[in-house]
Order: sequence, then C-alpha cells, then structure tokens
Amino acid sequence: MRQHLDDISNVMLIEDGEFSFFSLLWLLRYAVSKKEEVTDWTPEEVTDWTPESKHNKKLTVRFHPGFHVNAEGNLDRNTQDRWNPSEVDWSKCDIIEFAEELGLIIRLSDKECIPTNRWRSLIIWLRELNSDLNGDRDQLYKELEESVTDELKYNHPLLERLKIKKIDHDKDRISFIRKLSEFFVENWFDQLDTFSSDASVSYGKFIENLRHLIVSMNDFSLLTVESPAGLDDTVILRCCRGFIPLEYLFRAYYPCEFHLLLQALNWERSPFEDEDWKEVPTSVSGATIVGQVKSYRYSKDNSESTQDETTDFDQWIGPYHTLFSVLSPNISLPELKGDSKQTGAIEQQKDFVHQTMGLLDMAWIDPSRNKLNSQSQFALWLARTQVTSIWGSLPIDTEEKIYDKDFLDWKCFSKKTIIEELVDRGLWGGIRRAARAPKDDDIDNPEWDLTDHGEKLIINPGKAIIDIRKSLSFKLPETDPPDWVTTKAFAVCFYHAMRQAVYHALKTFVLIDGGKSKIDRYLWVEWDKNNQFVTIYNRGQVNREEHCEDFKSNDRGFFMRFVDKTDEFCRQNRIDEVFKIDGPEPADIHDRWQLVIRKEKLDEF
Amino acid sequence: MSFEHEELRLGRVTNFVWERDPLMGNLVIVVIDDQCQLAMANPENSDEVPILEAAALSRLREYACSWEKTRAIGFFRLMASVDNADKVLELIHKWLDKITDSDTQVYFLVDALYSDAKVGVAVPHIMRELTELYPPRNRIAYLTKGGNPVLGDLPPGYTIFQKGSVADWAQRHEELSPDMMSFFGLTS
Repeated sequence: MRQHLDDISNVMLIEDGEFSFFSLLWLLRYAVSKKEEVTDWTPEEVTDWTPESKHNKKLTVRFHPGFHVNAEGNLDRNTQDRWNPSEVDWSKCDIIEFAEELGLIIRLSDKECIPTNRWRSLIIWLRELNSDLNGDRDQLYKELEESVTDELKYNHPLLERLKIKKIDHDKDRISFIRKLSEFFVENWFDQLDTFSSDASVSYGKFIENLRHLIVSMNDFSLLTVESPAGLDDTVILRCCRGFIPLEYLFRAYYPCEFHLLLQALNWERSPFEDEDWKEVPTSVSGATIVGQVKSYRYSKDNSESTQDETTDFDQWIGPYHTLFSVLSPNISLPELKGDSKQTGAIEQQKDFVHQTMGLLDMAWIDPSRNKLNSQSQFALWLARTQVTSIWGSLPIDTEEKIYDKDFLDWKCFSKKTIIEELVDRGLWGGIRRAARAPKDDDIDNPEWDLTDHGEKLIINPGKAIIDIRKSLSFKLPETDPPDWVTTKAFAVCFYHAMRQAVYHALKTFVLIDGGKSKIDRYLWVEWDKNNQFVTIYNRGQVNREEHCEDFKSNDRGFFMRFVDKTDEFCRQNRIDEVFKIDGPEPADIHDRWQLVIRKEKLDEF
Repeated sequence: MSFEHEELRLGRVTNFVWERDPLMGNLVIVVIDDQCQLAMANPENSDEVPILEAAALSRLREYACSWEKTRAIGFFRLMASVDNADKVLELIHKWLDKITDSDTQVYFLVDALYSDAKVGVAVPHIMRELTELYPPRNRIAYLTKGGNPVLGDLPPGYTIFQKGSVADWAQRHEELSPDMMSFFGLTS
C-alpha cells in the first residue's frame, strides 16, 4: 500500500474479516488524522434518516475498495464483482452506504435495515470478553507486557481469554490491543441491543449506535496517523489480524459471501542438505479462500430471515477441499529437501487452517445450520472436523460421541441409524469422486465411462444414494455394530474409508462389469463379533501385483494422520484404547480389497 | 418447434448438443465445462434440488431452449491439456460449421477452473483461440463455480458469470438473470 500518497493506489483489498476490520479502522484513522470531522458523518438528530435525507454527509477520505487490480497493477473495472452493481467509491458514500459496503447492514426499505450477522458475532465475542476480563484485567495485561519468553507470551492466559491467535509482543502492540479491547468493552458494550437480533431497525437507530462507535473512535489517539506511539498501518493491520476473532465478525453477511484467494508465498532463507542457504517458501501469505456461503437468505419482502433448506454446503466447501488437497501433501515444492520442505508444508497447513477454521465455525454454530439438508450439514461438519482436528492443532476426542457436541439431534438415533447416515455420506462422497475426469486427460481412457456414470448419478442426489446401494448390492449387516461406531472419531474415519471403497467398487461395476451387476456384491461392511473392528470390503480392479508397500494415495495420508492424532489424544488423556487402520489393501480373495478400522489396547496401559 | 438432442463423441468423451428442428433463430450458445453432462439435469423432476453446477447448467439449457431466438446450445467437455482442449475446439468448430450461417451469433461460456494446474493452462489457451476465431470478445464469458471469481493467470477482461448466481436467480425468478440475458443480447 502506498499510504504516503494522498490517493491510495495499488491496493489489493482482500475480502476477509481482518481486512474489513482494518479498513474500518484505517478509514477512521485517516479521517481523524486529516482533521475530518467524522462526527459530521452522523448528525445527532437522525431519527428521520432516509436515503435522500439532508443530513447525509458524504465521506471524504479517498479510499476505493470494490475494484480489482489487473495484471498490470491498475484498477480493473471490468472484473468488478457482481454484488456491487454500481461503482463503489467510498468518497461518494454516506454513512449508510458505507455500512452497507462493509457488509454491516442489509437494506430492507427506505426506512429500515437489518444489521448483519457480523454484529451478532461481535456481540457474542464482546459478551464473552466482558465476562472473561472482569476483575483481573490490569494484572493480566501487566503480566503479558512483562512476559519475557516466547513460550510464556504465546501461552499467556490473557491471549486465550482475548482469543488472540497470533501477535508480536512489543509494548506498543500490547498497549494497542488493550486499548482496542477496552474501547469495545467500555465504550460500546451498552450499545449492543440494536444489533443483537435479526430484527430490522430504522436507519436512525442504527446510525445512532454507529455514531457512538465513531465518536469514541475519534478520541482514540493511538489510531491517528502521526501518533506518538508511532504505530503505522502495518502494525495496526497486524493487530487486527491477531486481535478479535474476526472470522466470527466479518464472514457470512450476504446471501452470497465471497472471498478472494491471495496466493503469495513468504520466503525465508533456509539451509539445504547439500547446498548453500537458499530462499525457500515457508508460508502462504494472507491466504484466504474462494468460496460462497448460501446459508442465509434475507427476504427483501419481509424482515424475517429465511433459510435455504436445499443449500448444498458441499458446493461451498468444495474449493476448500481442492485447495487443501493441493496445499497439504507436498505444497508443490519438489525442489526442496528435508526439513525445509517439511517446514514449508507445515507452515502452510497452519496458515490454511487459520484462515479456514473461523469460516467453517461461523457457519456451523449458526442456529439455522440444522435447517440445511443432512448431506450439507455433514459436509460442513466434516470440513470443520478435518480442518481443526485432523490438520489443525485440536485433538480428536476418541470417546466423544458424534451427537455429544455436534449433531445433537442424532442423540435419539439408534446405532444402526447413525451408521446408515454415515454410509449415505460415504456413498455420496464416492459418487462425487467417481464423477471427476480421469487424471491423465486421455480422451480414449475408459475411465470417462466412470466419469459419465458418476455425473449421471450426481444429477439427482437423492436418487443417487438409492441407485448406488442397489447397483453395488450394498446393505449393512443385520447384527449390531460396535458401540464405538457412534464416536466422532469413527465417523470421520469411516467416511473416508467408505468413500474410497465406494469409488473403487463403482469403478469395478462400471469399467469391468459394464454397469451390470455380475457378482453378488461390490461393497459390503462386516462387524467383528467381538466388537474389536469394522471391515469395509470392496471389489477392486487395481492390479494386485503392482501393489506394494509404498503405495501412496491421499487416502493413505489421511489415515496416517488420523491414527497419529487419535493416538496422541489417547496417550495424553491416558485412554487405553486407540484407533488403528489397516489398509486399504488386497484381501485374501481375488479382486477383493479391505480396510479395517480397529480399536486396540495400548500396551503401556 | 422442438430441440433435437444429440451426443457428440470425442474418443470416450461425451458432449451434448441441442439443435432446433428445423434450424431457426440466430443465437447459438456454446458452454465448455468440466462437468458438461450436468446440463442434462431436470430440476423440475428431480427428487431434490440438484447440486449447484447441475442447477446452473440445466437452467441455462432449459431457458435457452425456450427463447425463440435460440438456434442451438451445446455443452462441451473442458479438458485439462492444451492438446485435448484443441480437439474439443475442433469438434466445436465442426458443429458450428454445420449449424451456423452468416447471421448467426455465437456466444461462449467457459468454465474458469482455477484450482487445477493443468486446466489452468488449457483455459487461457481456449480463451485465446475463441477470441481469435469468434470475435467479438464480448460474446465470450467465464463461468465460475462460485464465490468471487479468482482468475489468476487467466486472461482478464471477459464477463464473468457465477454458476451459484445463475442457479440462485433462476430458482427465484424462473428466468436467467438480467445481466446474463443482456450478455446474450436479450432483454429479460
């Protein structure tokens, strides 16, 4: 950013929580610094505010989000996003237009608007913060400022209470986050009611409370450009990124939420095994994700929010999986060796998790989530669990039932119903995988028949599950499954096991048997009579002779990670049974493959 | 007036076209997408609302076939490699040669896949070829899966339609969105 110029150019604005919040601070900071009377933007008597109101004063700080920067680095109006049909120029906005552009409100009529979910999430956080900080905040801040070791700084209880994810701990920054948090808690906490429900409010009421925020901000000396503390925009941006859990605040606010992907690598000098130090990529810088949330529909005809019950979250999560599958295994750094490569991949995974987690959490905790169809809910749950517990740093509680914290409405389901649900999700995952084009792109590859078959199935999701159960002659055993099939850990593992088994079974059905059932069954599941393991079998056409120990696949990577994570949890919590996975591997009968999920005693207990 | 449906094979790759019988109208739409078969979905008869891509492509087919101006609409497979993209383009040329004349206006919608490194190479090639062979440029657009389009290295300056928005608008208004109608030279 060329902040030394009056007119900001070469700006790539990223639609992300931190950046949105930064934008708000930045605008106010420059306005205050340039002696802008920001209070004039929101006149005191605004009860009669309308779009044509004489009170409306245009913002005068020149800042132009809403345009994309083209390859030449110039603002490109051709690719302007479609949610902003008119040219967006904040210097021509009044405060309501500004709030709308920031996604803080949705206009309902000439008189009313709906404060968006951003407010609701902010309020949840503020209430927690107010409660958590009550009483001992001075002591906590003092301790943090005096922390000397990185370990102490990064594990300080205050950071946990503030939900600060990452921050550089110098005094100026700690002072800044303290002021910012106290500003919110002390100056604005009483103003929350306006934003605490989905109900519409008059523009007057909205402006009144926004005004309170702005007036308070006007006195916020650290925000001024030439403040004694010397904080520059970069520092403020970093503080914004590390401060409020802004994903909760600035995520789902439009019927179609949009995110840009910024793929830029951070480079660091690292030693190579047999060469000199070199610049190596170590993390994705500011990555955020392409995606679309369609869970919220605000009807402009009435003030109540409605949910799209048919929303398929899978569609939205798809790009995350795609990106993650690209990022996670090798991160496309084949030239790197040893530790450098590993460090780069881990760092990028961490950044990906950081960027993704809040987005998924936001959607998951939304009360309207349970109105989504079951497939969509599962896809969302799966993405959230994988990002946080498999690839992220959260543990997988091997004892926790899937309905303990997550699918609460599954609590009344029998074991068999739960496993049937998981089977359906796995079947759908296998179908989606089958519908992909062959990897080699050869137009004569017979696997195009599988792609066609998969695409025909996914045209009608409901019928697809029934059809594929019939085609593959799949049904669950009559006997009772082990109790542990209702655990969250089993669910996530079973889904992946089923998905790959379904894919290979379907491949055999279509490519070997021409889409006609020629054998008694292509896919089946067995429970061990002693409830020690679950085996998933599929017919597979993979050449047995070519199978070897270093057989690699993304599935295998997932299973290894899963076992490591559950093992870690069990050891830390002195739980004596862990999950183990064998396979996928050839079974003892020709064309039969198996994957075994077992519960096994840890030796040391 | 009805549309005849035909499958055009390229090796084992299936492409789908609908032509008015007899040939009338002057609007031809060519969609190049990695899941072109989803255009066969029939949302009206589906047990559930189909997935986003299927809803978008099938609605596009359905509404395009309802316009008097439409002569034909074709859905062709987006291939990953430049070589195979060329083969599909050749198939498209042949089909267009058969059904178009000097009055025909051909519009292209190309799936802007950004996540696949190989397709990421093929799509710019397709856009360049189409722009050269079928000007004007404003009859060629990207079709993205969802979210704000990230074109990366893809050539800029083309209109962008999102499947999510196409499906969403069609579901709520039972027609294509005004901007898409406008792109095809139609008013809603």
